Amino acid sequence: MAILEAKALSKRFGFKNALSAASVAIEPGRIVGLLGPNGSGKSTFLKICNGLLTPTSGEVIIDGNAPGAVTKTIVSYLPERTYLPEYMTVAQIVDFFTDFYADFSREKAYTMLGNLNVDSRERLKTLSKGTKEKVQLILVMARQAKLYLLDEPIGGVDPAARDYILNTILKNYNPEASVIISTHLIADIEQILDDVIFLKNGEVTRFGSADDLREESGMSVDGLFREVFKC
Amino acid sequence: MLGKLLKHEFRATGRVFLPFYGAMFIVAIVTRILSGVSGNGISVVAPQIIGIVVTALLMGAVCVIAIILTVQRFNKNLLGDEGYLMFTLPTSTDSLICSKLIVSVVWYLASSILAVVALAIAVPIVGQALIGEQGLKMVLNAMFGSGAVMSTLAVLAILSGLLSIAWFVLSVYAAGSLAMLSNRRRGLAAFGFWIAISTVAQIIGTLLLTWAMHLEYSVWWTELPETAAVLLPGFVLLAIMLIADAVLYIVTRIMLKKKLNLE
Repeated sequence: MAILEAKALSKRFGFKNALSAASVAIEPGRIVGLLGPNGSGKSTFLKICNGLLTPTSGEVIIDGNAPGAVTKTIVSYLPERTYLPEYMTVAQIVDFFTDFYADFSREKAYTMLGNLNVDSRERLKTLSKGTKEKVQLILVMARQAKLYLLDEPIGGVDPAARDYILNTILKNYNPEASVIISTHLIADIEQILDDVIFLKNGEVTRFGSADDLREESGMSVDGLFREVFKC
Repeated sequence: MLGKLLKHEFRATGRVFLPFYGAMFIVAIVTRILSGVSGNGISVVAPQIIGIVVTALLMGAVCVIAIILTVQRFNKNLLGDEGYLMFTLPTSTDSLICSKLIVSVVWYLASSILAVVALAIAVPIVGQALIGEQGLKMVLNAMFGSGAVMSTLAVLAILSGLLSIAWFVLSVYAAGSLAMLSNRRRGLAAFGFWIAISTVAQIIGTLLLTWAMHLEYSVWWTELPETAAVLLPGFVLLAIMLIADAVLYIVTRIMLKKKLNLE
């Protein structure tokens, strides 16, 4: 059974279609690249999967349930923005995650914070934007979730930190879980992707195995992306 | 989950309220000490007056902060960027609304009671009036020591008071949630919805009051036993407040559950 299934998912903002009848089915144990240029509907898709936006039509099913309190116990979501309360210290936000998520590992979180030299006594408002993003990713990856939805996890950090983040994702996710990574920085993540979804103007234009895509097109996913989304 | 949400909500709001309460009590105690100094000169009277004025200003500030925090916690913590954290917690929409509502009502009550206590400390005459024979004791005796009817009326008044605080908090929540229907200028839209909600509530309140004032001319009213005639308005008011609160709660719940639109 698919861990995530979107059926003819559409979302309109005023006169603009952010998503148009998007349909995909993600199997367990896959790392999926949700690829598309800015404004293609990637964040909208992930927000709907998390119940943060209501679709105009269509539906999302996660492990057999519509987005709600039940699916939130198995979905670990990283938004594209800084979203943690600024007044909290890193230690307090770790306590917050420990309180609410049964699958959250404090040990794992503190190990990763130590590796990145983040002082847990620091308040979030005193951290740089890049460090805040690393803290957010650590919190999300310290959960043993069934489905990770990561919106632009490498967008705001320097290239040196990207390798650490990708390694963090690979090392910490449960191998039976699925990861959906939304990004337009494809070259950096191409090597870890099992499947890819191409989103263009809210429509799913391609969905399939990364290997099949490379074989069919005779080029890398990054090369194909540049070809498909040429300005 | 509600317990955990309450714990974190009290922590988040307490860091604002507790220093203010502390400041209010320090100023009140200093004013009380100064008021013990005898003399009529300006150097004696001026600090006493300044102390009372500062205590009164801090009392007002605590009430203003309670209102600002009600708006800010809902907008920032649920409808702003922090909403990405709160709405992805494995908890129900009801728990999210109730935790915010309960904590707001508790702070309103605490602020009101502590403001009176601070004033009683700062101004001896107020303090003596409160603890004297004609003060709080007499009020409590009148409320709970004068028979079952008066006690029932007192309980109804307290419950109606709590529900009216909750109504104000819920009117802010409902207006903020309805503003999600607008794609732009949500702050302005929320204010517009709040004005609309308040106006509708005032119109309904006035109509009900007019109807209630004509009750004494109704035949069925004059035929009621005396106890029922005394208690009925209290129960009706409580029922109206309950319905008004429930309407706003349901509007907020539907908007957050079915129409959530975090941008």
